[in-house]
Amino acid sequence: MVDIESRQGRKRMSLVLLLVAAFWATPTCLAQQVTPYPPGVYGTWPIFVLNTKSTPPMLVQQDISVPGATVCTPTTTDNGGYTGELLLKNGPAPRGAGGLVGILLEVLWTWVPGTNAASLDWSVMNNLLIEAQACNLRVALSLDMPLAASPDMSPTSLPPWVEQQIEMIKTVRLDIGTVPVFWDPIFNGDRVAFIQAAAANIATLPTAVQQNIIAVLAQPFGATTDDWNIPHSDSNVMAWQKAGYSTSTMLAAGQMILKAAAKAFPSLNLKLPIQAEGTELDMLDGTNPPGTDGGVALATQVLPWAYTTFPGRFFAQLNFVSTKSPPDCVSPCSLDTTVSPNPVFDLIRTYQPQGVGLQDVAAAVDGGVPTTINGVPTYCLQNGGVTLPNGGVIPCTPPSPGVAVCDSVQYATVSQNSWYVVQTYAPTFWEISRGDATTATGSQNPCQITTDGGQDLMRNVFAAVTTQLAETSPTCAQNVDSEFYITRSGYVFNFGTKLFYQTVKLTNIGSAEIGGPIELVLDHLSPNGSLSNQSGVTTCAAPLDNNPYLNSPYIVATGATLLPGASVSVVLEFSNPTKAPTAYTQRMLAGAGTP
Amino acid sequence: MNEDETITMKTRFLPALLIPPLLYFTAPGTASADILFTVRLDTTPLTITPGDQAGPFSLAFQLAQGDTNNTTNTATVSDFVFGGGSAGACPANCMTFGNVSGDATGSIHLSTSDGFEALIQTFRPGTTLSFLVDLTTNPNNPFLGAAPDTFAFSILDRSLFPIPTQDPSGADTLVTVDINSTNPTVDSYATDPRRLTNAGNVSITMGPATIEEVPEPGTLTLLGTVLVCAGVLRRWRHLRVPNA
Repeated sequence: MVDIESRQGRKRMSLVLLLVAAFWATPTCLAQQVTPYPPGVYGTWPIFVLNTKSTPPMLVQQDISVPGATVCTPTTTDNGGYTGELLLKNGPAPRGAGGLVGILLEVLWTWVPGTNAASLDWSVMNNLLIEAQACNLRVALSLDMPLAASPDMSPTSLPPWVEQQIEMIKTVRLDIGTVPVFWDPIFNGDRVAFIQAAAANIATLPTAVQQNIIAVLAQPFGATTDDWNIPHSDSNVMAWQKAGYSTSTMLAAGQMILKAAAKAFPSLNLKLPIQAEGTELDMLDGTNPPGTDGGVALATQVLPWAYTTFPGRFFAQLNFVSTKSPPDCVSPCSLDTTVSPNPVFDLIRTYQPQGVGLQDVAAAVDGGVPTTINGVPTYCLQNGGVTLPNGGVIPCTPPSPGVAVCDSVQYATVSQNSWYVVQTYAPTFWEISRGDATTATGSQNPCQITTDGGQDLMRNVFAAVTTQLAETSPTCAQNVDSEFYITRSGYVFNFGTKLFYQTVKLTNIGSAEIGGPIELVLDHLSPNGSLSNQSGVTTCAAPLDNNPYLNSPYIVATGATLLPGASVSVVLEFSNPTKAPTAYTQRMLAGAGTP
Repeated sequence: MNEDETITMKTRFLPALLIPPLLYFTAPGTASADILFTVRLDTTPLTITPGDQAGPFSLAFQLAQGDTNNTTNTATVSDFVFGGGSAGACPANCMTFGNVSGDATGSIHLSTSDGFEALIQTFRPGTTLSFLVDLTTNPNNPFLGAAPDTFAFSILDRSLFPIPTQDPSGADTLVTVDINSTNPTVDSYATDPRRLTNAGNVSITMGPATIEEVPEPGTLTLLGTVLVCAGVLRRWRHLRVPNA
């Protein structure tokens, strides 16, 4: 008898443990719940390079503090100068105090040693991720997988483990050397393997470090960097066409890489820099004659697909905003002829409400050919900039005799004018490229922001921008969980519609009226069910339980105000082919903000 | 044995008389409460034009689990009376979901043990339809965010869409029981003549089912026990009066 009871007890305990395990395992099955993209200013932070002069060649970090150094404090080995680090120069910079929300952390796949995707050494990147988290800077992770690592690269510049199968990869000879074609399945298989290996590595990091990463960039169309870059000189166009280039082929390749990134990093946002191409390459199925579509046929197909496939987590991004870029305005805008009209600006404008990002080109310098001013070779600020309605700046001209062109005040002023352009596009985030704060060391830019005054000015600009972006980003609906008593009915199956119906009664138990619309959110909806009559998915309001996930379905219970003690019932319609019970966690939102 | 001894013995045995009801209330079996109720419907509108245009009709019983981490409930539907009509023979006229057993020619047994169980069985309506439902009432814990298990009954048209009813959930049931307490409410709904049937496109006007709760055998036993106890107590008091 004792044995039987003992066995029954063990059975019961096993059942309990099974249920507990199932409960804890459930969140891992949840689909596509993503951390919101914090609005604000982001710096760039290239991470490490291969020092080919050492024997053997070694990976060294550049422009960052070395592992083991005091976090957020530059060391003597730093060259200094990159935006992210510049703003940390004066010591630990709490998020916002330095004006930066986070950084773009680039990982070029030729920099990660290893003989195959499974044996890559991520230790340097991991140290940087840990340091960024300690510095309270969110990380947008760029997995750079260009066709070539530099303009003069041959296929041998590809990662060693890719080189092993290079002879099987379809290649094309371009101005940048012989490189694989974007749509080669073996090459893309390697890119997917790299993405998966990065994800697997990050999964081994401390939870806080993992959660500090907010976005991943896996550029499918980067020939040389993580920018959207498809070489399209006349000779390039001929080479691409000979190799079989078509917009649909490129689209399929892009979908493959973006899907792989989305799957490998299910809780991260996806961002994708976009660009225009040669019209000869990017005609819309040949229906548009060359020169009429601005070479954005590929972008116009990738973006709607991506925004639809990854709702609430995809962000297109423009990487060439400057003081010379046209402010968003009602057409016809007065555009600078040297950079516009540019159809990509029109494209990005289309997607403003869904979230876009902008990256500044060198706000401080252009890094190009110096202009001699007063006998001194001077690098102009954004090619001279333009006079802007907010006061303008002409950075290439010394403001007055005896004042250096590189005056830090000018940097800040140019940044402010860049911001004038940027804000007209209502982006979610603004990245400041590395040149904005570069130093003389190892750079062609003779200017450097070394004075505290200059740093402070830029800090102030960025801090103000971050604040403004946060204020202008969509206001989220308010969480009113504590104001409601909620009762759920059971699930009843309708044999005709094949749907399960559940009535949920929402009662205002607070002492104040609750302004509509009032939304019921279904967090952690079990994979076997989907809400057929959902009003949408959350894109702004995250749960309050330190769980920053979005993309939960919600339904508008009422658009009206609910008085204290009043109730409203809402019927949920579930598609549930398995007919097993549907599970979810309820959440209440109210007010005019975005759910 | 004198009168004092008699009273002493009666006093000694009195607690023993209270044991049966005490056992009844403390026995484990009492945790699994049941409700019994009879459902009666006037099905005449289904036998005459235009209602009959939507037929042949089917009975549809379902028991849906509200939450996997909670208790199991069962439903037994029996004592079918068709008022001149009849139920089709299974399996030719039946469709089941889950491990349903039985059919409307005898009794139907449904359980939430495998999530969702249902039986659809073709029937020929008569003037009335009645059946008895024996439903266990083990509520799920609402504080764990669980929905209750639900028993529901519908009549389907020949396209297997339910006849439109005034069921506010949208599931078009005629009878629904959310097992949200040990004594849940049985809701019944009239048809909705403003909405046409999916098959036949006709309007059917049928009042809500009459629900009559039936005291379950356990309740009768308890009642009997209490009455016996009361009688014994009264008798004992009557015997004590002379000694007062």
